[in-house]
Amino acid sequence: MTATTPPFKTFLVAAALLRVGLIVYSEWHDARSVVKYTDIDYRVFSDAARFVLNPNPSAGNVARGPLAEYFGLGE
Amino acid sequence: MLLEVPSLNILGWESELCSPRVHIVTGVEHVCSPYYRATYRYTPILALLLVPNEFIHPSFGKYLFASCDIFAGIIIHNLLLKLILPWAGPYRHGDTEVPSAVKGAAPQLKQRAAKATLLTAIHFFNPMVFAISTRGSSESVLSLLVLFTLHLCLEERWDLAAIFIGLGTHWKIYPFIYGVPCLCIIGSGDPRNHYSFSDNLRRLINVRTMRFAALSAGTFALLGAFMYAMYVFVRVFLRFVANQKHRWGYPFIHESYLYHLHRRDHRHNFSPYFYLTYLTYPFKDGSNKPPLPTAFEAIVRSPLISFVPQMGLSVLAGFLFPRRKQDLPFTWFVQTFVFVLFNKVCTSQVSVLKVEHHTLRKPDICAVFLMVPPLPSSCHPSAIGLLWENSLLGWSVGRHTSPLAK
Repeated sequence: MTATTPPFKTFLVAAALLRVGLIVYSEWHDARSVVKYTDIDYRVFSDAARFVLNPNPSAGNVARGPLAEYFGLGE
Repeated sequence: MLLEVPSLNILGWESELCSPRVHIVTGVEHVCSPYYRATYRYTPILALLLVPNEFIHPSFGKYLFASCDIFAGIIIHNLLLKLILPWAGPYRHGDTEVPSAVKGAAPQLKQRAAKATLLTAIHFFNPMVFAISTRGSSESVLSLLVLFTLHLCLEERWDLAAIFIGLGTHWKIYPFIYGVPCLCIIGSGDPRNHYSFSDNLRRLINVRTMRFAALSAGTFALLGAFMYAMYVFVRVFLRFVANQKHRWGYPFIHESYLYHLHRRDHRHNFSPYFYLTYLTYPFKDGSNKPPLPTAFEAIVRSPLISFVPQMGLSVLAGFLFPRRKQDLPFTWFVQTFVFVLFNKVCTSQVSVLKVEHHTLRKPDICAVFLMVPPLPSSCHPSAIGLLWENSLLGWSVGRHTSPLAK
């Protein structure tokens, strides 16, 4: 085991390359197939990021908190 | 087209559950309503982290999650090499110091390095781990947070560890359970002594533990308050600037925290509660409404009931196991395992966390197995790991192909 185990850096680089390869593949795959490689959660996060940048009042269905309902704060 | 997929029609369920308040983890976009949108149920920090998706590249988030994986692997390797493997071996009561160098240390170190590398490779090349992060799920960020917290705890940097536990609890609610064994260890004296009950109480409740608890609770409260305040202040600010509305504040509290109290995932749910949830899922139309349940039934059917065994056991494990800081990885593993086992919902992402802790526990688990006579002494640690992965994969495959999942 000691003589044949590669150093840690090898595993590190290999793991990084594996992930980069899979991410590149996922972009190719998503463009071509109905069944996506990407999780729908990722789209949720990305949409949320877009809403942070461009808040859209008519988008989605968000609960209104007590501050808005009873005191009209932020309306 | 790479794959032709027949349209998925889940009979009557789809129309029942297409209301704006229900979040369904199916991975397939619902087409029953053009205005339906999957709701965002995480901390705003995650949305902020992914903002470069808009500027730099849509896959920036995936690269971020994958790099969290890599950093987690580095931390695992570090921990294994420096702290844990030197501790592995027969338990010596009261052993708080790393055993000093002995004759012939060099080949021992080499063997240790090889072991650490191989065990970390189980994390790096674990299909569950890299598939989940390259698919764009954010679990690797939390894994990194928890592992880094473990690293801080084992280095006894308790203040920073408290802050990170607060951050982790803000991210997902459950990491607060990891704080419990920390409290037990901070105030501990020599584990060789036998303490009376009042001594134990004093070990648990003293200035240092209170400081730890205050720091982590304070971090959590501060983060929560900040996110909530975004609702009021940023809105008011933006109203002057751009006449637009912001979406944090109470929606944040609701989506991030309160939702999880009442969620009922009735599909793609590996938890023991899935069938209970499946059978008792509320119907929208009143025609086939079951008779009103008794008080006892109402309590047992409530989504809140699952927290009792889950939290109870997790927190109890946190009090039971730690005697010294070397026990921390094992305790956290047991807590995670119990938490995941009794969770109301258990998707693939959750098993990632089990794997993280399992990797760190390998040397001791192998030692336990080796003590069982029938097992050959040449039982390699990764054999146990492979058994674990096989059972996990077999379980997930079985769930997806079972008739109930359709």
